[in-house]
This record gives sequence, structure tokens and C-alpha cells, in this order.
Amino acid sequence: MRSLLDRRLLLVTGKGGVGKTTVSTALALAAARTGRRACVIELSGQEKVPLWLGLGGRQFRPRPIAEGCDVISLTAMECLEDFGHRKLHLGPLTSVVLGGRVMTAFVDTLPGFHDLLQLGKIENMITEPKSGDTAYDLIVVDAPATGHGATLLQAAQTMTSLTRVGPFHDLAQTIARLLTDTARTGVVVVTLPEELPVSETLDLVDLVDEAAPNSLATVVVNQARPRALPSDGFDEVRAAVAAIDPTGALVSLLDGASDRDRALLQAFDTLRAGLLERLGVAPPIVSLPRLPHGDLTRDDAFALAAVLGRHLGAK
Amino acid sequence: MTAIAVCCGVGGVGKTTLSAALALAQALQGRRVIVLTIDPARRLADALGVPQLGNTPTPIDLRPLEAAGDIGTLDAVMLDRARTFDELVERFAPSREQAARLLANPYYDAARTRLSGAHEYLAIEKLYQLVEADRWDLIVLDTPPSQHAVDFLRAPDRMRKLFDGSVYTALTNPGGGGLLGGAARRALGLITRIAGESMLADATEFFKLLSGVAVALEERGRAVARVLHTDACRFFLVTPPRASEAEDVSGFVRDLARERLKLDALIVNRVVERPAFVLGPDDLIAPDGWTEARFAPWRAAIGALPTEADDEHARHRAAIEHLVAATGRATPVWQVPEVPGGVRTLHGLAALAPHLMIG
Repeated sequence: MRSLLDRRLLLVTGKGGVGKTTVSTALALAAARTGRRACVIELSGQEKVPLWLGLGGRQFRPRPIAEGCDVISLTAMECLEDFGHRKLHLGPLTSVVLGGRVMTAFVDTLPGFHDLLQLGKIENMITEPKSGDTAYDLIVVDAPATGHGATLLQAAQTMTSLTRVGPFHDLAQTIARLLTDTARTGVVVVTLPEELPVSETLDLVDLVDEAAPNSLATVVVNQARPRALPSDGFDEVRAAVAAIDPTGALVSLLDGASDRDRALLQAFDTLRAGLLERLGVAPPIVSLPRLPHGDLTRDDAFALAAVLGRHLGAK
Repeated sequence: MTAIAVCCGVGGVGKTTLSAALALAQALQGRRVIVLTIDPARRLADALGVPQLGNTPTPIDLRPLEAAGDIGTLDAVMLDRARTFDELVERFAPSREQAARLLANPYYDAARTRLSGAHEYLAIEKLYQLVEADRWDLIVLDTPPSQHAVDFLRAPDRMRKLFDGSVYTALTNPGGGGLLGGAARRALGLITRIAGESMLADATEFFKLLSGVAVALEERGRAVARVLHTDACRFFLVTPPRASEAEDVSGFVRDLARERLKLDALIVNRVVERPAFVLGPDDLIAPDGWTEARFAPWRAAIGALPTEADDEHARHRAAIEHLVAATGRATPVWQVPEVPGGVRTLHGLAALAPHLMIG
């Protein structure tokens, strides 16, 4: 089977707080482990990856985070300037105009402009890297949270309908082709093994599939605990424990563990059934373990990349 | 005067559930309360016992709780961004015809939900409408999910910039105003080259129509932002028990202080409590008729539970220390215990009430 990492572009999306940045970084690192050149991209000036990995603040130019793996943080204005130089051969003087108030207001206000400029830069990195720039085999985009992640997919269509001719219209069409080409582009949705995130994920899957049919490549269930208790005989064991537990404290720990186990199984069942119902065929579901300590370290990124690599059967 | 409780925090921390629990706690104290939620979470509707939440307040049936004494009322309402923006335009446009033209402009549809800060702005606008309605003692506002808790406070300013009309002035009168005019003219030339004439025409029309509503909206925006600056308004920050949230917490407290506001309580959600005295694995006795081999995996699993809970509790305590330091130690900290399997019923929400007591 073709590996997820054989695509050129992965858009990682999901509700806030589910670990999109973690998963994006781990995916790029997993690709790098297989010898691919990979890059993780943050949008709208986000800088979670460099801060996490101890590289300081954001930068528009690529910086290595591991052998074969870079990180970039884009802003719409930088992408606009890049676009101006690349496509319109604008001189250095135009930087002043591009950074000016009117232009900023225009870019900030018009819907889809931001997304399109950043997607344009990404498309360009994939299809025609400048000489001297790294040609990446795989670009992983840490896309915005639920809802907005789907609008990112729709940005090209929005812009195609708003601009009838001109360089931006052409750009929008090129991007639309890339985003709807399932051989090159895949969407990775990240969720947690809990009821609420799963139900919101299924709503997001609807939006994603509407914006780019069949683009959903994989669902990553992040922070999945292993089951705490064996699967059979709960009632008998509980009665036996209750008979000797003087304070009831152990019984309530047992009940809590059982509730969590049940919620975990139910979340996976709901996810599987919901995906099947929506898409006809369920995309691969990959679980990542919940790390025992609260805050992620640099080593965790590599550990999660190794788990992902195994799951994805990457060669 | 209507009191307001604003629940801030990043996405995925249980803010919506806690907002509802906070509202319910106050309703059970006899007040007339409404909770304004942002995320259309089906489970919240389920927990509240209503089929779904909509743009108009839905009364919640509190009878299942069989609470003693004089209890108040609870309503729930969900922010519908698109409709709230449409209502604003319809109400404040200089004429019905201009409102209709703006609503039909191709940019408007995308703009109303995607403008930077629009979500937060519209939440505050909806809050203001509820204050104006004067039907409740307390409004609990669940804020939109954001990367940083402080985004919420900055939203009205970001949004007001859009209404100040300068973009429209620059677009329609690029010649005026010396240096700025020159730069604006060049910017417009560039926009035309990049985006094409037709887009510029649609966009100019959009800004022109918008600037017609702008003056009224700007005034409105100022009034709306003021509701956050009265004594009646209290701020709560919901956070998970994670030390890495400390920076966000201190940033939020700083931003509040800059606005001469203060954090009323830091709510640490899903805290694991230290288990009371428990039996060890060797104390356990297999159920009747079980072989030791059958019971062995249970013995191991149950034996691990107290240690796991202890470890988790210790981590949470250490994290809470960091978070308390980040608030400057002047803020009450409320710890809400973890509910295994999540809060899914009205009783479950009510069980959180003792942890969420506004003084």
C-alpha cells in the first residue's frame, strides 16, 4: 500500500488543543527518517515548532530541526512579497508599498487572501523550487483549527470565483489543482479519543470531504491511553473489591478507570462508524500514545515520529 | 444591573462545559442566568436536555435536579456568527437598499465569518444584545476557541480598525494626501496587477458599502467593548493543569491589567485528586470461583491505579504551583476535579457547582 508519506503535501487539521503541531512535526520527522526531505510549515506567523524545539522565534526561511527536516513559518505579507518578486518581477522598492498600510489592510480584510498567499508559497515550493532552495519530498502544513482548516481547502475556490482574470486567478487555479489532486495532497485530521472531539472531528470530516473530495488520508487519534483494565469480569471483580475496601477509595478508582476505558472504546467506535457512514470506506486510523508527563520535550517529537513511522509502514 | 462572567481560555480545555456548569451553579442559587456558548457542542445540548442550541435563548428544564429551595432559571443560547453580523448590518446600514447590496456583495459572505477578530467581536456583540434585553441577572459568556486566551480581549480593537473607513478612502481616493496618497496609489496599482480589475471593483464596492455602516458600527463597537470594562463584568480563565500554560496565564493577567481589569479566578480543570487510603494489590481477593491465573491481570491493573493517580496528582500539583505563580498569587484558584468519562448529564454539570462558586 502507498504510504501517507509518499504524498507531496499533507494538511494537518483538527480542533484546537488536540495536538496538531505535535502531529505535524512528528509526521515530518517520520518522513525524514525514511530519507525523504521534509518540511513542516506553520501559517500566519505561528512559531510553536521552533519554540518547542528550542530554536527561538519564527523565521520565513527554512531552518533544520533534524537531519532532512526543516521548519518554516509563513505570514501572508511575506508570501505576498515573495509572490511579487517571483511572478511579477517587482523590484526591491515595492517592498515599501507591499508593507504599506493600504496593502496590509487590503490583505487583512479580504477573505481568502491570507490563505491563498500562503498556499501559493507552499505550492511554489512543491512544484518549482528556486535554484538554491531545498526541493522537499514532503511538506507538512500545521493547518488552523477546525472549521478554518476546511476553509483553507476552499480558499482557492473562493478566490477563483472572486477573481475572474489575472495572476491571482491563475494562482488560485493552480492551488485548487494541487489541493484536489489526491495523489499529491492528503488531509490528516487529528483528534482525541474522547466523545466531544470525535463528534467535532466527524463534522470537520464532512467539511473537508466537501471542499476536497477523497482528500482525507488518515485520522490520527492523539493521546490515546492504553486500556487500564482487563476486558472481562468487571462486575464480579468490583463486587469482590467492594467487599473488602474499607474507605471505598479503591472502588471509586476502579469505577473511574472503567468509565475512562468505556469512553475510550466508545470514542473509537463512534469515530470508525462515523467515518464509514460518511466516506463509504474508512481511512486509516492511527493512534499515538498519551505521553505520561504533561509537557512535550524535544525527545518526545522523535519518539512520536518513530511510532508514526511504524504505523504508516513508511519505507 | 446584569452581571457578566466571561470564561476565557484556549481551545480544548473544557471551557464550554465549565461555562454551563458555572451558569447552572448560579441558577441553583436563585438567579436568572443565561449561558452564551460559542462552540456548537452537541454534548452540551444533550447534557442540558435540549435537542439543540440556537440563536434564540432556550429555557433549560432544571426540574430533573430536584433542587431544594428557591432556584432561579437557566437559559442557553448559541452564537450564530453569520446571522449576528447580518442583523448588525440590517440594523445600522443607512438605508435598507444599502444593507441589501452589502449582504449580496461576493466579499461579504466570506468576510462576515473570516475577518480577523470577527468571531470574538460578534460574541461580544451578542453579549451586548443580551445585556440590552435586561432579562437576566447574570450572563455567562463562553469565548471562542483561540490560540491564546488574550486574543479575545484584543478582538474589538482589531475589528474596529476595519470600520474606520481608511481602506475605503484609500481605495476610492488614492490621489489624495501627499506621501500616503502616492504609496496608496502604488499599492492599488499593484493590487490591480495581482488581483485583476474586476476584483478591485468588487472589493471597492464592498468597502464602500461597509464604510456606510462603519460609523454606526464603530460607535456600537465602543459601547459593546465598554460592557467588558464595568464592575459588573468578571473574568475567569480556564486552563488544564499543565505547567506550559503558565506563560499564557501570565500574559492574560498582564493584558487584563493593561485594560485595568482583573482576573477573578483561575479555573484549573480536570485535576486528578490524591486517592484516599487504598488497599494494595496483595490485599485483593479474587471473586468466588476465579482461578488466580484469571485474576492476575486484574490484580496488576487494580494495583497500578493508586500509583497512577498519585503520580498524576503530583504532576498536577506541581503544574498548579507554576500556574498560581503566573497569576501573581493574587488570584483565587479553583480546582475542578477530573470527571472520568466526561460530563454528560445535567446532574454531572450540577456536581461541578461546588467548585465554581462566584462570591
